[in-house]
Amino acid sequence: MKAPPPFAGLVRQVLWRLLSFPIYFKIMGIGMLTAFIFGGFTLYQVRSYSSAIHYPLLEQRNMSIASSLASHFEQLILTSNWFEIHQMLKQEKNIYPDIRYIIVADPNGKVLTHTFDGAVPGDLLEDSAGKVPLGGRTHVWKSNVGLIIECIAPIAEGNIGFVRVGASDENMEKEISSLDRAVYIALGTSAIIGLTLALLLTALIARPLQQLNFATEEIRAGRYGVHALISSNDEIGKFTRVFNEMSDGLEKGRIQIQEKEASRLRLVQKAISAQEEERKRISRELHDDLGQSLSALLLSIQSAAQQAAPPTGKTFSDFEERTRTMLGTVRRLAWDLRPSILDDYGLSTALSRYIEDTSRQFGVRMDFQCSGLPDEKRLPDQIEITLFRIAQEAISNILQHSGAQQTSVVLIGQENAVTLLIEDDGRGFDINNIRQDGVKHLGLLGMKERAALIDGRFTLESNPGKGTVVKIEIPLKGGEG
Amino acid sequence: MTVHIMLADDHAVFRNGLKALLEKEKDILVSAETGNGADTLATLKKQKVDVLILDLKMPGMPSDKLAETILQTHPKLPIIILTMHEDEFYLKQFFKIGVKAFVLKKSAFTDVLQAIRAVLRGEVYVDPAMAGPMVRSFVHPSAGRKTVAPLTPLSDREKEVCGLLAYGFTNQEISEKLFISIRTVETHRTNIMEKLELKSRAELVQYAIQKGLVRFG
Repeated sequence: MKAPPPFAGLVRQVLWRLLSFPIYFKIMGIGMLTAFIFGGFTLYQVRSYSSAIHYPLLEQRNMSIASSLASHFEQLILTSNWFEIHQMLKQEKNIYPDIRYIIVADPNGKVLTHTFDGAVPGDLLEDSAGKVPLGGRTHVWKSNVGLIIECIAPIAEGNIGFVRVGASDENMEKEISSLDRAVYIALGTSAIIGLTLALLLTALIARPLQQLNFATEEIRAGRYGVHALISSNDEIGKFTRVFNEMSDGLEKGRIQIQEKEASRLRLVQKAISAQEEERKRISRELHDDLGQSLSALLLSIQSAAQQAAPPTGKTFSDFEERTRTMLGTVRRLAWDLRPSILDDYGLSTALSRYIEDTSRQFGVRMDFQCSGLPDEKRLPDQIEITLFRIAQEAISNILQHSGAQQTSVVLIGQENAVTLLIEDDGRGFDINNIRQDGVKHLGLLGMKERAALIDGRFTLESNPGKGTVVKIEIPLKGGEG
Repeated sequence: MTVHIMLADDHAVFRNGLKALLEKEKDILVSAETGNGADTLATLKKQKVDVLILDLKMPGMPSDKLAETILQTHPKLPIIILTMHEDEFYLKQFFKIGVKAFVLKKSAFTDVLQAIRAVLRGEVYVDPAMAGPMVRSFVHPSAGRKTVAPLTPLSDREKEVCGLLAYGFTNQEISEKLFISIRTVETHRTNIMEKLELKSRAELVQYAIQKGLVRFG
């Protein structure tokens, strides 16, 4: 069923697989992919934007704290008012919780005072060295509590020392995270709304296609005339309409074929029964008219012969003999056309007689057995003549082709059916070959057709070297059985 | 003493020919002629007839019914069937009813005369041309063939197959019914035929009926 991939190679195989997903999934997939790409992009943008804003702000604030402290400390250091300095440092650190430390150092970087509870961590000691411009200097370093943004401001242009303010980006991160969360929630909500919309959209597009698909399957199964629901007037709707018209057309065609077949059957039946009637009529006329006339003629000849003188008498007996031969011919013709015994005494008697005659005439072994059908019981005319003709045809086939040693005909009457079985032990044949060249086996087809006309079931069983069985079962309707 | 003969035949030309020949005999008189069953019955009621020569087929009523009806009222009346139907089946049918002679129209007129003489003597007469087929039907191989008791009894399976064969099932149908291969059915069949000394399906059906292996009707 599946069309072969129109591409070759691994990439194409994968592409084929993807394209082979149901439309339902494809549309959903496109929707979801779009939602994810947009969401990811937005998130990235929001993040980089907020970082871009927050970091400079943090730096500016730190630097302004450092600068303002530096300007205050110029006088205080000169007066060695360390207490005041310390108080201010503490105050500043309390106001801004993200400030980790404030260090005041001399021009050589040596720590003068600080906000640490204990000693200044070692890694902070080295870093104060180096030239600090008038506007101060900012650098970021990584500590064990996260990133530290350190702003260094010179006191009295660096002649007295520096103020170093270190703030962690923890708070900023927290803020960015909460912003992220908001974005996530917004994204999630819109994804759900998007998916719902995608579902609806999919239903709109894929449902009519599914409907069409079901309808196509129905048609493939031979149930023509099904309609797919038209739910719009778009391309699919138009397609569906044309599809439905096509389906109607198929159904119409099927009905036409059916009617034609029925009328063909009626014709065949008519032809066959007309033929049988005609044969019956001709047979009767041959027998009753021509036969009787010849019989009368025979009597006249005999009467004339009695009065004739001996030499003429010889001629008369010649006439008599010829007339008798003609009578025999007429009788045989009449019998061949339609055995009167079939009409007078029924199928079983006629078959028995026919088989006996044929067996004698051709010197072959044939026997007949009837069971379940008492002699006086008559089957409907049409069944009797049909079975008789089929038996004739089958026996003629056997005589011509089979080379059989023994032929057996069995007629079985049952309550609701009558079965005729013609069996031979001849050379048989391969049944499959018949189906290929039906012309050569018109006889078999004829039997089958004749049986079908009276609702009979025709069975043929044969194998090379195993003989042949022809079996016809005719159902009997109530009253006949 | 004159013999009164009635001719019942729907063919007037034939009747005339026969009448002409019969009346050449000094002691025979054709005293009545009819062309159908009803007339025949009516005439018989009015007239005394010694012999009735009856055609096998006449318009109106089948001759076997006619003969039966006549013999009910005239049981002693000898009936001679004169017919074109050269068929021992008809012959048997009519002798069963009680006619005394069966003569073919194709036979010589002398056969008709002989038949008349014979039935008047109280004998029956069968056309010599019919003797052959009649005897053959007695000695026909399938008629009255006695069944032998098999030397080896059939197995249960063989009995089953035998029954199905007698009901007219084909080998293929039996193989499908019993869930065995066609080859196995063929083997069973060969064994059955050998054990029962049968030669054909017809004989097998006959055997099965006689042994009550199958029941019809």
